[in-house]
Amino acid sequence: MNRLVAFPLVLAALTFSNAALANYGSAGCGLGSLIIKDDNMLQLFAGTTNGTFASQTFGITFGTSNCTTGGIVRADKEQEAFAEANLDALRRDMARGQGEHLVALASLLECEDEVRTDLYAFTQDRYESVFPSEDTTALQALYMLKIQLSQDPTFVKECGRI
Amino acid sequence: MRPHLSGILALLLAGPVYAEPASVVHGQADPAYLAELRLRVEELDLGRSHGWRVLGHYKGRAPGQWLSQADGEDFFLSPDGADDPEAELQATLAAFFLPPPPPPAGEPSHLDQHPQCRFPRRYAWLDEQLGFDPERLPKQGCPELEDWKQRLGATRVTLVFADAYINNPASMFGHTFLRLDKAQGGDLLANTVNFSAEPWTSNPFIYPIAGIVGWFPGTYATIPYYLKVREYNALENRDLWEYPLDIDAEELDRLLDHLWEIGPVVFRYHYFDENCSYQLLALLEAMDPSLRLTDRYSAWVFPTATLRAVTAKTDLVQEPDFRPSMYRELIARRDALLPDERRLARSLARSLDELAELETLEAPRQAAVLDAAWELQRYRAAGEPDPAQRAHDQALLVARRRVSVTSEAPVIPTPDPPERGHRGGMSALGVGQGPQGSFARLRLRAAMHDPLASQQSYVPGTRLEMGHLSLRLPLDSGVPSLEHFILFDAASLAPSEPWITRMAWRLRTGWEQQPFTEQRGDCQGRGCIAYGVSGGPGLAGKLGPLLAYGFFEGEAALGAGVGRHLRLGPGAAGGFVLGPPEGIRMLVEGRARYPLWSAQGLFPGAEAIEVLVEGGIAAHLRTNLELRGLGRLVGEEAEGSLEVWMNW
Repeated sequence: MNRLVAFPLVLAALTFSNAALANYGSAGCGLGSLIIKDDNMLQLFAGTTNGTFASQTFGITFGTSNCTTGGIVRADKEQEAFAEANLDALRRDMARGQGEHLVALASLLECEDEVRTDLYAFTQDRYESVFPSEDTTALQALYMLKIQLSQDPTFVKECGRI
Repeated sequence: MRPHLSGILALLLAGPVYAEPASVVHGQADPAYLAELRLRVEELDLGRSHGWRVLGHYKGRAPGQWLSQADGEDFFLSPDGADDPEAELQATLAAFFLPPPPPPAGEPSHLDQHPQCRFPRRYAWLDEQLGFDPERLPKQGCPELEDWKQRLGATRVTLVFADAYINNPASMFGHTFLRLDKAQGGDLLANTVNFSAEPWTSNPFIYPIAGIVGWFPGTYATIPYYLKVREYNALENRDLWEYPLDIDAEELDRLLDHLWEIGPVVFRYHYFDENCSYQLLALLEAMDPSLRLTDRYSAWVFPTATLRAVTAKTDLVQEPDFRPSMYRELIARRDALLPDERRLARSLARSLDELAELETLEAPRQAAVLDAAWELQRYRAAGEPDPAQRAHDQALLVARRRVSVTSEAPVIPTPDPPERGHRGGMSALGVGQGPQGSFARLRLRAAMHDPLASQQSYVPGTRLEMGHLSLRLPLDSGVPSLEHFILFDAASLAPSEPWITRMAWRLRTGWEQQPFTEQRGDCQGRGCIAYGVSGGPGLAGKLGPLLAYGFFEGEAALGAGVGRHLRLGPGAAGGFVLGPPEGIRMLVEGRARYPLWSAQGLFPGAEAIEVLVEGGIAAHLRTNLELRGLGRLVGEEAEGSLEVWMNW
């Protein structure tokens, strides 16, 4: 892609992303801190019942929550839920350019097998722009990754959901 | 339509109980056919059949009396459904003849579905038994159920066992759940079927009692597997075992149909019996009633016992896959480093001061060092890193991403799968010789493991004993006495090793004979019982072939066997365990305690220090059978005994 064309595109994307990110954060699934129990005593006893707070979110019943319908993560929220729940594993995998969580993310992005190896290398290469700091949230990172992937014609063609 | 509308409304207003559905006539549903089917049900005695009882989760209360373990009233169509399987079957059959319900007015609920859709497994089972005539009993369409199954996308089922977690006394027995695997996308993206309690309190005094007694409601949930992997592998450092189930598409459909039925239903959660494992057995049984998995269990169900029950059905279960904890991965990465690299990784886990030295290594070795360093700092942060740790974490990953090579997969040895370990219950019979003469001894223990037992499939060096009774019968007098009844005795001897310092701990509570013959308040001689609590932190480590340990302990004892009926004081203990995981194992331990307050008053002096040395050797004859020689030395009194131990 021509640099003269690419630059305004990136700029537009970044401007848009900043505006979008403000809303993006509130639309998450709340899976980031679902399991880390703040109360140590509670953590000590939670195992008696195997109770995780996830149970309520994923209860098998009717009704639709922010992220689930009938206890299953909605198709349009799968990527966000996965990124939120696996932020640290994704950071690790992207920095290494490999790993099971990265493979799962590639599946959620519906990337064809042929571009997977390139995708993994791409995430390693772009680690710092996807995770600019330790405070980058999962939704911000997902958004930045997708913005960057969408500027590569190969990924645009071979990945169905970016 | 119109003439029937009032009848339908009346039924809907009556709530989930369809008391007189036979009076409703609609479309092609043929009331005469219902009467025919009811007769057939009587003839075949379906209401009392095993297949029907499994679907209603009925358990025998007394001969001929049944009670369902489901507590939600909306699981039953008959007002007597909870304890009358036959009435429930008749009501179910009648409800299947109802006309399609009107579209729900507000937020749709599972109660708005037609009974054929709310209870698809009941419908299919009754259809199998009775051969429904679709001309006379129209099959209703169930779009919600179909949509749910389609979105689950399950093609295979895997039974997952989360290993015992010794540092959390409450999950020491492990956890089981099912994973519904999709055709594509990998295991992480699969959903699980998880039964767990929904606690309504976090009060530490009420919580464990409520968990055991059954005050918490338990429900099913379909939690994504990646959340379970994070919870167990990463946060709690537990291994996961994944057992693929050999079931066909029809069995899978039956499983999902039944899961749909019980999904919104509340079951009381009981830590010991109606727990996650029991519920999964019941679910598998609903899938295939001939499995007969729940018949054998009554008082309690250990998750490992579930595994044994399920893996014993060799045509149901395949060899498990092992998903190691983060801890095992860290150890494997550490062990793959050369001594210099190891030192460097340890330093990098703390700060990046020596990053320049890293760059002298070749790229693959840089990657190996950084991977180990990152995992070490994650382990130390224990899931809750502070801001400085998070910044360092990020800096390590940035350093790692600059090394553009992939990492070598760590080589993690697969331990013995959990179902191969010895069983949890134990009884032992022995004879011995002490200062008062010879005696016989009988022991019973409800659960589960101790350091002398075969270590196969258990976390090395752990102790977890519950309900451990020991009775002594002197051979001359013949008057039996209680040696101890231990409610709970647990110890974690997790060894500290390079990079990783772990706290060992133990806690013991129960009634015990007091070892000393001197001043004891109101009680003289043997048989002086006191209730005590003792425990504390310690350290364990490997010294050559020994697993050595030491503890600082506090103790409180109460009862006639103790001077002034109360003794409080500090103590210390040290010992070692020696021997291969199976074969001949040995344990020796010395304990001393200093009563701050006893018969001699406050701070009674050095002569009040009580010293006790005990130990034993166990020879494992088979997985569930062993021979133990035990010895004990208190002051100048010594006694020894020989026991045969059987696990069941």
